[in-house]
Amino acid sequence: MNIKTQQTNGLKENSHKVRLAVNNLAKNFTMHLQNSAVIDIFSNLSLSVNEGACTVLSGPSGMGKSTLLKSLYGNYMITNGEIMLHCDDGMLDIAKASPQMIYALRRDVIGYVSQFLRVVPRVPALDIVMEPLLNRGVTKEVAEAKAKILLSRLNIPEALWSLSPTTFSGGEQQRINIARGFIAHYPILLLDEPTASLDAINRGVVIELIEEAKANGSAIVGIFHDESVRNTVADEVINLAECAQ
Amino acid sequence: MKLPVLNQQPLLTVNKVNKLYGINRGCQSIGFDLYPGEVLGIVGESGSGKSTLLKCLSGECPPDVGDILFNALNGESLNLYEVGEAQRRLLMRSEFGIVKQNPRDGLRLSVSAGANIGERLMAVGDRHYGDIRSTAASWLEQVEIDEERIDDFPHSFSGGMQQRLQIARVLVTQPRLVLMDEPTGGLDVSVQARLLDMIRSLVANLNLSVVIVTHDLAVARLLCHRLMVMQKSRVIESGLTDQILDDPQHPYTQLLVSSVLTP
Repeated sequence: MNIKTQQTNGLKENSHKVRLAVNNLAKNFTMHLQNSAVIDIFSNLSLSVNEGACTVLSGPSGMGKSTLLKSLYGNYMITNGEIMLHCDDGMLDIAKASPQMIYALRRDVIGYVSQFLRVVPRVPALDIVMEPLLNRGVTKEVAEAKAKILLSRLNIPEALWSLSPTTFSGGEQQRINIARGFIAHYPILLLDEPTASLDAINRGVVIELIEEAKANGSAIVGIFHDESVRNTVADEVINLAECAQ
Repeated sequence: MKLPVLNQQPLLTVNKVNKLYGINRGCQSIGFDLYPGEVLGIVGESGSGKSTLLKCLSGECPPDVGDILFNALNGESLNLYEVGEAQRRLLMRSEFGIVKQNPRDGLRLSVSAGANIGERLMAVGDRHYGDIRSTAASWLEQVEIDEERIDDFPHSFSGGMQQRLQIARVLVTQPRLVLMDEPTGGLDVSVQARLLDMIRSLVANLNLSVVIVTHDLAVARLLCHRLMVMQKSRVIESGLTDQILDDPQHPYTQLLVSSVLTP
């Protein structure tokens, strides 16, 4: 299948280095409890993402955009194909990586921001945001300072920082999730509608964060239903409907 | 951006372990590696062999076939059932920690909370009363029990407090491998949340390796990096926790995941 890509902003001149290459990816779900129905989400999907660039997945709901992101994160098990991570010192197929490798990749290499925050009861917002840095061995002081800057930028009132986000509004929870996803630098960043329930001001902050991540060299794969956000951050738009079977 | 380097040795290696009480009763063909800092959950319905496997790992029940190798602190690889009884018991008191489902099975009810914690320290050679008492007090604080309760007996504690006391008693000797059997079973939901959060931060801060048996998938999602799903004495699926729960492959795992009520 050929995949139609549109150039929007044009690729940034500073780098064309491929960071992630998806080759002939197929994903289906076998529902054993429902007469073993097999649902094909996509097949023969290929794409690549460059350092410092943002690839936006488009297409109607149900085309497998989120499924693709989850497969790239090792959350879904792919049916066929490979997901090659291009590091400076070699390549690795994420689809075949051991759990130990996936833990390391998720800590140091691949970040993922979903629409929903999975709230752990009793853990304060500030701690949730700091955790990715602490997991990398950053000191508590440094992590806390960074977390506070991010929470302020995302307009989370200081009074909420020490509370568990269990009772926060949808938009506040989403911003906690965003702060957690952007506090550490990830060479690969997967964004699943990070701006879905945000107002214009906070959408603007997220756009800034995405641009900063790109300037730092992150290769980003994102889903944005908001057209203005998409047009601002996208270097390339890939329509999954074109390659769905 | 460099490839991650994985140079850790497994802490625990389980090789083709069988312990059967009847046809498909018990556990069979069990094999896995557990790495330092890793939390492995064993899930499955009652009677699927989870607890039998845990008993094999905790030195209580020699498998019919197979090896359980533990990488001890001194660098030696010890075969759990080939070392002598004395060495195995020392290992269980020092490098292993075992948390029972019922805290009353893991505590000594006839001695105070402080003595329950101190006893484990004395078992590995501590003798200084003042040190033992202050260590016990600091552990009570870590498991969120008021220090003033140090001289109270465990039977005056609530179920949730008893479970936290048992965890303090186990962790005080800084074990490297902790085995837990349904640690939140039978507790109120609010008490569970507190206990889970506590276990989660202790495990991360102390870089513990944990094998935890549970039938509660929400507990598994919160605590475990990796899951093994057991049915009729065998492991039918294993992998990353979020992959098993979000994209289960085996019919039985799909049934388990789809049967959970989400409020």
